[in-house]
Parts: sequence; C-alpha cells; structure tokens
Amino acid sequence: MSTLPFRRNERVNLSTCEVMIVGADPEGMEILAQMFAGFGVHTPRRCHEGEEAMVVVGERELNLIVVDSALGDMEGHTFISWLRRSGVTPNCHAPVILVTGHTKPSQIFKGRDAGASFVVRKPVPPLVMMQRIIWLLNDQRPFVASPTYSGPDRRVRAMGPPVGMKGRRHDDLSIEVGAAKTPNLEQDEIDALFSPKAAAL
Amino acid sequence: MSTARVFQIENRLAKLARSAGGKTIDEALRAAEARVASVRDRCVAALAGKADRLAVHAKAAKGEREGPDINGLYDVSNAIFGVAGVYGLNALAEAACSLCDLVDRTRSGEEINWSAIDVHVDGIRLLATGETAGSESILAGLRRVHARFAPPSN
Repeated sequence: MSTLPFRRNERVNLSTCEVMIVGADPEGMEILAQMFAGFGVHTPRRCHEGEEAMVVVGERELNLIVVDSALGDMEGHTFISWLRRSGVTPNCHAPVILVTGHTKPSQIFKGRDAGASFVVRKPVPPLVMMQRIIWLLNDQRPFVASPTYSGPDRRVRAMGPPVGMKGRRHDDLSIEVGAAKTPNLEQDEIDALFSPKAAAL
Repeated sequence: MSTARVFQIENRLAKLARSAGGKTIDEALRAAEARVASVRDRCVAALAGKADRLAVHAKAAKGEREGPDINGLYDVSNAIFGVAGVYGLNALAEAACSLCDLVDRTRSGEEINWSAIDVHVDGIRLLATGETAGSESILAGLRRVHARFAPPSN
C-alpha cells in the first residue's frame, strides 16, 4: 500500500462536485453511483445513453465525468470525442475517466485519442477510483486543441521530443546539453551548504 | 503542419476537492466500500438475467461480424465482467472477459469459430447461477477453448 498517491488521512471534499456517470448497464451504474456517494458526492447524475449525457453537458456545469466504454446508443470514446469538440465550456475541459472492460491496447489508444483524461480498466473497486481521482486533482497537463485532437496533453511525462526530432512546441527543450554556465562546486563547498551556522537575529 | 493551441485550464475539480470540509480518504473509502457492498445482492442477482441475454444475442448474432446483436453480446459480457469483478466472482469475471475478447476479435475480422462463443455463453450462464467447486473446471475448459480458437495475437 506504500505506492498509494495519497495519505489516508488526507482530506478530500467532493460534496459540491457535480459528477456525471454515463453507462448502459444499470447495475454498473448503481455500483459507481454508490461509490461516488460514499466518497461524498451529493447526487451523482446518471445517464444511460450518450444522447442523454450530451443534453446534460449543455445544462449543468460538470466537474468530473465517468464514462463506460459501452453506452446504450454509442461507444464511450465517441461521446468523449464529441464532448471535447462541443465548445460547451467549461464542460468540454472537464476531467473524464473512461472505464473499459476487456482492454486491448487499441481500445486504450481510442480512449486516449478521444480526449479521455484517464482510462481505467474494470473491475473498478473504490480504492482504484479514488487513486484516479487523486491523480486528476494533481493533473497539471495543459489542454490541446487541434484539428485532429482535442483533450488533455497526451504526453504525461515531459521527456522532450523523440531523439532526432526538433520538437514542435515553443517549450520543447533540445536534447543537446550545453556547457555548464557556472563552475562545479567542490565537495567542501557542498558540505558547507548543509552545515549549521550561527545566525544573528 | 496543423495548428494546435496548447493552453492551461483551471483544475476546478481540484479547487473544489481541496476546499475545507469533506472526509479523510480513509473515511471516503470505507463509506464507498460499505455502499458498494450494500447493493451486492441486487447486482449479483441481476447477473443470471444478463447471462440469459447473452444467449439471446448469441443466437441472433450467429456468424455476424457487425450489427446490434454482436455489439449486444460484447456489451453484456462487458457488463458481467465489471459487476462480477467488483464482487470477487473471479471465475465469472474471467469467463466474461474471455468472451469479450472472442467477440471483439470477430468484430475485427478475425476468423473465430462460433462454437467457441457458444461454449463461453453456456459456461457464463452456469457460472452466473453461483460459483461452486465446479467453477474452476468450467473456467479451465473455457481457457482451453479460448487458447485453441483465439491464440494470443502479436
């Protein structure tokens, strides 16, 4: 349990968060709704079909959207792709968790490329869902809007452009490391930075 | 080269979640686990009905690669996987996931023997009535069928 991205005594206040859960299976929805109610969400809004969810997106300001891969009338990634390009602010920028069942890499890529903030594999017990929520709370990725993609930056780790490529963004750093601008510190100089000193108050 | 706009957005979820009040994560998890457990009987009882719907979809979709019934077959087995997995019905969850894989391969154009799908549907219907000592042997049989008709793809 040491790998949890949170402390168990850390507080989280989801009581005023507007959460929408979208999925075709009534029992799957019931489990998620109970889970979020336990987390403190006042009344998670449930939608069984993508069309219904699209209407809600236009009516209410949402803070978190959880979408199953199977909706009654469309696939989950189709709804997410619509949401990201809907222009309905601020909902089109809201964090979206896509919940998938049987997960082939191609399905994960579909969800990611539709603009999902996170893809979570079923089964989703409360601990896993909470981990993902905490991850979203700390998510500082910028948003990308382009003709071919709209959603959170898919580069979760800033590793720079691939080797041999120049990079396309103004903040992409070169892989060439330049010469140091200041001399290296000697070990005793480093030690001096850590040793306690008397200070006049 | 296409033009992409890259911009920062306010993390409103974080702003609300970090506001005063709320619960400790430990309290939130315990409350969520209790609430999920409180609907266990109802959700598990619905699995047998879902398994019966699988049989209806499988019969109607026989030999198809697309259409509402093959999609229904996938969606219902996906739903069974999700519910069974949450409540620790591991044999049923694995069987449902295996069926999802067979159906997905069929939809993707792979040649999958339809008997493998029928055998999975029958196995899931048995497992959905309640996991017993025989569950492991049903699952072992389904694993062999899956390995025979849908070997791991590269």
